[in-house]
Amino acid sequence: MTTRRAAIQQRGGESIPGPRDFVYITPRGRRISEYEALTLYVQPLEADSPTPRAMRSTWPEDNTLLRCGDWFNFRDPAQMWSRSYVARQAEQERSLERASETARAAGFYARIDDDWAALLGDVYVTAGYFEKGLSWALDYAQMNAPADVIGVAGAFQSIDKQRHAEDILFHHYDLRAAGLPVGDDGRRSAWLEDSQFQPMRELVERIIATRDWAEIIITVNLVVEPLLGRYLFNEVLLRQGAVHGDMTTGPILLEAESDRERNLDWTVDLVELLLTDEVHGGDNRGVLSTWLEQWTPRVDVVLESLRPVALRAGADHDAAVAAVRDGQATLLERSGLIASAEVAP
Amino acid sequence: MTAQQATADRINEVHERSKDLYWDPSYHVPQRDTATMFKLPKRTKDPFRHLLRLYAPSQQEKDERMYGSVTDALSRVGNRDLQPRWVESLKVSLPILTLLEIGAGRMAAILADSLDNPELRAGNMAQVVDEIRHYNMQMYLQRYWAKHWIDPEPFARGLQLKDKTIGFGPASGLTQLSAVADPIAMSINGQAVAETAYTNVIFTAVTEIAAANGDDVTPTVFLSIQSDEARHMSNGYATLAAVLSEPENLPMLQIQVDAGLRRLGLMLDGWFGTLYDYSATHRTKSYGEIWDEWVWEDFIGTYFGRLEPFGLQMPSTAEAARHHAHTAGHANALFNYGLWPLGIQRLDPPTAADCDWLESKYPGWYATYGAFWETIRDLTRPGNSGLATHALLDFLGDGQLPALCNTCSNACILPTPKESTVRIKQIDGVWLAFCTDFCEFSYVMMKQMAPGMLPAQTFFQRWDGHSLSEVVQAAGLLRADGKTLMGQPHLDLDHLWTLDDLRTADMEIRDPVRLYAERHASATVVP
Ligand SMILES: [Fe+2]
Ligand SMILES: [Fe+2]
Ligand SMILES: [Zn+2]
Repeated sequence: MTTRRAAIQQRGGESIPGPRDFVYITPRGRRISEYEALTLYVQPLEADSPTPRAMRSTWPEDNTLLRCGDWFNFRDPAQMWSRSYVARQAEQERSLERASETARAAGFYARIDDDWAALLGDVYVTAGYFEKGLSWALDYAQMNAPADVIGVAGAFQSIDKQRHAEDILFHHYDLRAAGLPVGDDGRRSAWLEDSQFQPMRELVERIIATRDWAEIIITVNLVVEPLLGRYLFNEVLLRQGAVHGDMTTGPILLEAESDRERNLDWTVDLVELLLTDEVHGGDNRGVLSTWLEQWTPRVDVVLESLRPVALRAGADHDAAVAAVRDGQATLLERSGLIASAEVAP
Repeated sequence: MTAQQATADRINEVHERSKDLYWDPSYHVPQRDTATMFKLPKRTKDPFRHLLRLYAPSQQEKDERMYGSVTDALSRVGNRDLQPRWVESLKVSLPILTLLEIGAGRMAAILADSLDNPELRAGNMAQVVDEIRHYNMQMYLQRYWAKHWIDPEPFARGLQLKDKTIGFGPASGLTQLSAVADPIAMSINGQAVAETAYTNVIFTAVTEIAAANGDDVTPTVFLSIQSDEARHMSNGYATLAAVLSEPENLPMLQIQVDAGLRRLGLMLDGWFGTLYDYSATHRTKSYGEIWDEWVWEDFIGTYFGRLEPFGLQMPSTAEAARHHAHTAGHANALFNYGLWPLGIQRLDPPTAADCDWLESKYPGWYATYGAFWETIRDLTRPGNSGLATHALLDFLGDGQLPALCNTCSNACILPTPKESTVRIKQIDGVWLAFCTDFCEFSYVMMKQMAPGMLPAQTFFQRWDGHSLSEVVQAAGLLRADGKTLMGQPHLDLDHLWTLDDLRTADMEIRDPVRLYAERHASATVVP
């Protein structure tokens, strides 16, 4: 028999010389990171595939208006792969579970005033649909991305949104269990019918119906999240909760913001990649600017529709809007989409 | 109410309400290419309870256990009798599995996006993340072997080279499935057939062979993957059950089930059969036995037994699928060995003892294949008496390469070279080869649904007119030293074939379908 005892990793053992890592990967840093090694190029380049060109390509290039010399050049700055992402989620969920136990034991739910509790029921619980809708849109976007590194980032964001929506349901349950007047139902009819939420639902449905995967990611992460997400969750609910004696909603909103920050971050890097593309950079800038121009007024409509919510929460609507606009401008500037001069006060 | 009861109530309620978070958009209705033709009830039973608060910590625990065990296994490696024949087979299998995972992920994403049913959507959302986990793990394994195996380069470049090798064709259909089909058909092919019938074959049964051949690492990873498959099987079962609850779906469903079993078999059996029956030194069961156990008895027998009361018949293709499962591995092993310069694996041909074992498991095997394996035993070393490729052509009889199927990419020597069911035909002006009537039928069906579809360019069409040595060079199948071939016909660490060795025994690839067409065309002009 030609087999021999394997000399695996034994000093002096015979071996055929050759590279000991994935040489087809050009690392972003000095060495190939675990994230790069385990994620890059798993999604096949279809040109190489010997099977029939089916009815449609699995990852057609023209499913976005953007063009890129090499989509696989993208890297998630947080280097999330399944293990690090799952560990992060698990930590987040454990910490939220602990926070709600502590709040219950310490009687923190009882300190929330009734008006605020009612607002949480009316607004925060309903906003679970908003998050779920974004998750849906991102799910569609991620599966159509032409490179695994982008698809994975999108898939994880979709899960972030789903998780926040579920966290809201847990919170709703806990608030009810503490006897607070948050309402009993899941607010489905509010989301579907209440005029207060229709501009928001219209916006989310427009995103879900968008066919260009990159337009979804850009719209969600450069327009909707920095403006509407941060307005509602940070400026109104997080900030005003403190005023109303609510120490229980904050931890959930902070986790959601930490996800948001991560997702906005990689989107900034994606935009940078697109703008610095030697061949397509100019065209990409045009496409991206058009998207910003089209989607910003749509989001503005929703922001304006939430003015009564801000009023009810005791927040200064105009100041809140100004704050999120500032934040968005900084983000766009970082991505290179607008020059720093344009951010003049 | 006990504290435990309160916790359970809380989770149940949150879970129920999480499914209410879906709604039918009315301002803007999403238009998808992936809308299903099947009628789907609005609500179904849950395939699984998916709440991220529970899912994430349990997945994290599994990850920690799995990655921890791999580290432990490394410390034991010197003490285990690790068989090179086995490890070498992973060079091809792991990149194929990686592709299988990405195909499954895309399928689950399409299902989550397009099935109008909250239970099925939620189940598929979780599967999307599972499949990312799986391909990460497959890549982790490949990197592990690249770091530690005595022949690292094919592991270090396997993912990049997979599409360039001759053996990869059939499995490459796995990501195309998601582009071809109705989402329900996708679920039947992917979740019911591939995940329910076949994942046990690979992720459970293979672990026994791996362990018997001294490999503790692959089983650790595979079993951890398989622990997620229970959920994916539930997704498939829930989808089938949902579709079955609408009687008008039955005829279409039966067609998909019948075809799915055959289609997946054509993609997987050749590879699996070779893996089981030709890649182990210490043997356990044959692929035929494994297939009978998991697919014939468990899937076709028990699984469909449970569905029969709902009107679903046992797949009409079951017998054909079984015959294929018992024969495809041998044809595939023969073909791959004959064309070893176009692969990335160091192959170890069956010894006399292996031949005895094969004959005992597959009576008649020796009469069919023995002569080839006896001949090539003298052809493994370079500069000696020749190249196995020539021996393959001699063995096949007509001095030609076998045609590659334009539907499934298998070599058309099925079920055996002598009894080949190949058909070469002109369809819409293009000459095409099909390995079976099933593949011809599939092609015609696809063409009907998508008239603009282009047939595959097979490996031999791609390289028609080039010599083996030219292909090796052009496809990048040379090692980093620029002269040694990646694939080798033996396990010796010495006597490695170089490009020069190959040139002395070189051969031109001539696409048999073109040759056939030329003969046929000239025949028609003869008065
Ligand atoms: Fe998988
Ligand atoms: Fe799976
Ligand atoms: Zn075929």
